[in-house]
Amino acid sequence: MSRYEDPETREIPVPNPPHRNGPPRTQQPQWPHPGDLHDYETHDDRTQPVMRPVRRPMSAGAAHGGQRSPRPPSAPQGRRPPQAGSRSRPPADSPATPPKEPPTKPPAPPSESGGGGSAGRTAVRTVGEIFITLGLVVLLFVVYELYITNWMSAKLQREANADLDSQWSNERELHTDPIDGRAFARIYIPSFGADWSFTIQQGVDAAALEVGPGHYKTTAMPGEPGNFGVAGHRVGKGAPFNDLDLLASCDAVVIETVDSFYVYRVLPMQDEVAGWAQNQGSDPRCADVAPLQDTQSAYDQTFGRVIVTPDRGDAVSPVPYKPNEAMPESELAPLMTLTTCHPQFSDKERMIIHTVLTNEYAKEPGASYADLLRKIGEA
Amino acid sequence: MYGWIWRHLPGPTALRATLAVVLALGVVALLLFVVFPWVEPMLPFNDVAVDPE
Repeated sequence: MSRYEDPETREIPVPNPPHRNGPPRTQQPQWPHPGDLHDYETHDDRTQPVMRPVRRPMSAGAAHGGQRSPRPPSAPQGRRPPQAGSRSRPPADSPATPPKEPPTKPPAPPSESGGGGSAGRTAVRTVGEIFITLGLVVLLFVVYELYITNWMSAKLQREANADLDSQWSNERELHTDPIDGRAFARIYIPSFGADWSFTIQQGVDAAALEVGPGHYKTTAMPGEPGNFGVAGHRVGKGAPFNDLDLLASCDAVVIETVDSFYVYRVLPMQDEVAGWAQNQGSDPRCADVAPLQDTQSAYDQTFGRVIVTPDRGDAVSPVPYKPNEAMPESELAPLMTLTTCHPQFSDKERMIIHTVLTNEYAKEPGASYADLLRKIGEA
Repeated sequence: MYGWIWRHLPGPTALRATLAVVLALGVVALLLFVVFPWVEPMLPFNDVAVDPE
């Protein structure tokens, strides 16, 4: 583009011979090479100081003019013959044009850097810079999503943890209903490590989930018959449920409330249901985990891990995927359902982990999660 | 754009470079703590909850 514009802009205002050689401007970076000719020039300058005032405007136009002079004191004459033989370009210009050609190029840089060259070039450069900047902004957003939100959430999680401790040590608040956005329980997953724990906030709005996993407000509370539903981020924001896909059947998920520990275990996967009793069913960890559909046909879609579309709000209904199932509360299984986005980095679907309550331990004074882990054999 | 900013920064090169770094950090901070948190909820790639009807 600039190639076409240069001749125009130059020919109209200044029809000087030097300016008519506009196109070479674009070759400006190459100037140092043809500049070997220029070396010859500067050499001339030095040998014939009288000529300087005349050549100044042309050869000194470029800042390079001064820098090059130290180079060729002895070289030019020694070099010159090989140049003529080895390089294709200089021979063409050398005989007639050398005196004129080099001077035309030096004037180019000042006009470009000072006046911004042609308007078209400036526009193109600005657009390019804007695109590069936008690219960097998008990259920065990725960094923000994957790392910065983790730092922010870690701070919120620390605060929620301290708040929960003080809340639990305060007798008056023992049996109040959870407050929106405030922590009311803790979740532990022993297979993710003994130090893996998050507070569970009331509600699944963005503010609650930024702190840690959140409880679907309309679902059951921990330990109750029905479905205790918990959502959590899988990427960024502390990513509490980042590894939820690694949970296998019978893996424990522990919920700690003000007075109890509830041990839930992941239900059999869909492909494990058949022949469960012969295979995993014999594992002591799976003692109280049996396919729910064996006893209640209403649970025929409730497996350890299910992938659903985001509109399946019934994944956290008392009988999963059967929102209209009228089952008496005494027959409802005490379930816990964890939800997160799936696949990772996408919200096309949801990953659902269904677990069933297997044990419940009243918290004794001074009892810790580490003690519980020993008790349930996960330490 | 960047050339224009550079030419309009005052002072010697060292001061200009310092100012340029401060400007860049300011823009990054503005993006991280104001713009991105505001934009994020509108981008639908981190929804984790199933929609209760």
